[in-house]
Amino acid sequence: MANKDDYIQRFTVSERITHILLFSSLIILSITGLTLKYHESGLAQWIIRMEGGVLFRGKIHRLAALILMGTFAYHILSIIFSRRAHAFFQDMIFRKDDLSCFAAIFKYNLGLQKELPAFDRFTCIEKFQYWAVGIAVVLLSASGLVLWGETLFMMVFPKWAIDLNHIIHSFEATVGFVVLVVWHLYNVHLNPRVFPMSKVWLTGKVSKEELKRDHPLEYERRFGNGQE
Amino acid sequence: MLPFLALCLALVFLAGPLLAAVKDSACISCHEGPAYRETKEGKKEAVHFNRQELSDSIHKALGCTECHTDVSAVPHQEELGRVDCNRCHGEASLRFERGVHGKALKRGDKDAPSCTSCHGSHRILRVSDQRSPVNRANQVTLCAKCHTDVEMQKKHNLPSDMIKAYENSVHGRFLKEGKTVRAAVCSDCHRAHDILGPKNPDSSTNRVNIGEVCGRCHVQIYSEYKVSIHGKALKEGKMESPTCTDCHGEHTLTLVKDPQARVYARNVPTTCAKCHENQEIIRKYRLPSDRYSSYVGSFHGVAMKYGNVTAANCISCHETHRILPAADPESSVNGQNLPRTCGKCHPTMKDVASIGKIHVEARKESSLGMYYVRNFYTWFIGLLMLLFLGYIVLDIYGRAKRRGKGNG
Repeated sequence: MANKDDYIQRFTVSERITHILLFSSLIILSITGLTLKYHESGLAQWIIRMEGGVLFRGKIHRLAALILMGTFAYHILSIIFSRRAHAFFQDMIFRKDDLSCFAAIFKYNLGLQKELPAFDRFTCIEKFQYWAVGIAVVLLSASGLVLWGETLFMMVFPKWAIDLNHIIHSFEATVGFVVLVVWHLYNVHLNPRVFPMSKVWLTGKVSKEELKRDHPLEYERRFGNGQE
Repeated sequence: MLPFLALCLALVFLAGPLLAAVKDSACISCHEGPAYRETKEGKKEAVHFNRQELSDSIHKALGCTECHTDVSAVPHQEELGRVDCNRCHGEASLRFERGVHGKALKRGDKDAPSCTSCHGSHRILRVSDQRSPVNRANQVTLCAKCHTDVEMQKKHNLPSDMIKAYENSVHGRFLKEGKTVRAAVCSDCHRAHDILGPKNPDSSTNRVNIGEVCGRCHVQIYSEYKVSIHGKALKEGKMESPTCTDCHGEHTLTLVKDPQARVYARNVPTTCAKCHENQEIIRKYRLPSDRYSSYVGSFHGVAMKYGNVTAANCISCHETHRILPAADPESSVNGQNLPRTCGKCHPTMKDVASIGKIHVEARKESSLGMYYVRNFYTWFIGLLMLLFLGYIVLDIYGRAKRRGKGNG
């Protein structure tokens, strides 16, 4: 068995809990939301019945939204106040070389390039997911709050703003859903490299070997140049 | 038998020539006994008269020959003519002759009802008498005698389901509960004597006249309907414009609360859509299109579809009977009145200055912003899907290729 020292802590307990709260609320929001968007389909109608009717569906949706917004607020607060989360956030910021990173992955898979570029703590794919979800959560929370208090909102804004907001909420949710279901789930579950799934979201740990393979720059920073 | 006939003959011979008119007693002397006549088929048919029948008749003061006018002597000729009620009831007779029953009778239709078919013969009671077959309480049963007869329906091409539908209707149920004043019966809508087919412009059940007929009881509603865009259009001869029965049904009409009713909250949108989604009508009268589809996709529409019947349907905003075009300053959906209309359910909206477009179709011509945002997202999501799927395919391809190389 691998020695305890062979592993490093990639995600703390609080980060893992944040992730669990994030995806469970998003799953509930997707189910309750998409069934409303595609309410004409028979499957959606069956799900809405399972959800306790169209009114109770709304209550579930808003409760999950509260959990999501709470999680998001916690994340923002920790970025501001926690040293670790601040560093985490800074590592997530897109840099110049992230652009060439996508091109490099493309070439590598086509066989035009022998090696993948050396990734740091987060690859361009991971950053893309983080920001796509982050922006979606901001847009969805804002437009969702407007829908929640539409009568109050309409006292100030004209109805076309509500209609626009409705469209944004509906389509932005679809964008988020596509990013997470098609892109994220492939990368962390179905990708042959990690299939059936990467356990890092549960244990928070990755082996030094994995770190060296997937994030060589970070490995280098932590353990020095590992080459013998 | 023989002595009786002999007595009759004796009476006739003695009294007949002496009297100018035949006295009732003369008639009774035969017809209270077992008098009969032979029919063409050779059967004996009683022409028996029961004095009792006349005793509570409204005609009890009349003498026999006042109706049976062709009897001038006793014994009278074998075949007597039909009693002509027209002699006294001129107006009713005239009306009857105009109606479908009267015309059929004139044509010689054996099935057509005459006065006596409905009113009875000797025992004619006032219409207000509860025992009269034409009284409100009994009328439906009377009409049903012929109108539920399957043979009769086939022979004369009569509608088959109306009596049954009526019995289940709100009027029919009131009748069953004995609320005869509240329940409209056949003659209230179809008239009593001059019953005409609905296609006849003079008919009480013709589209143009139905409003007035229902309005006799539903006064307030009719006054609202009359000034509505539908009421006015119909009056102008736009025959597609709905009248009462188009939304409420004819014989089937039920209470608004009944989930089966066409005017039940949940069914209102589809009822209105019958015309407002009909492309022919939309084109002909230049009605705004997509009213139904834009409603169904809205929050109100979805909530309604899933059984939240308190959500707004068409008539919540457009009013029920007094539907006016939005351009009319009196209309509930006129821009100026919208805050008040929306305020019925959303109280905070009462003070809002303007609300704006309600039916949003996201078309280029009508809702430009929505149109572009929607199109942007549609393309964006499509592009994302392509990129992601392309990436996945490429990733698997690259992996397989590298593995192949490694093995080889």
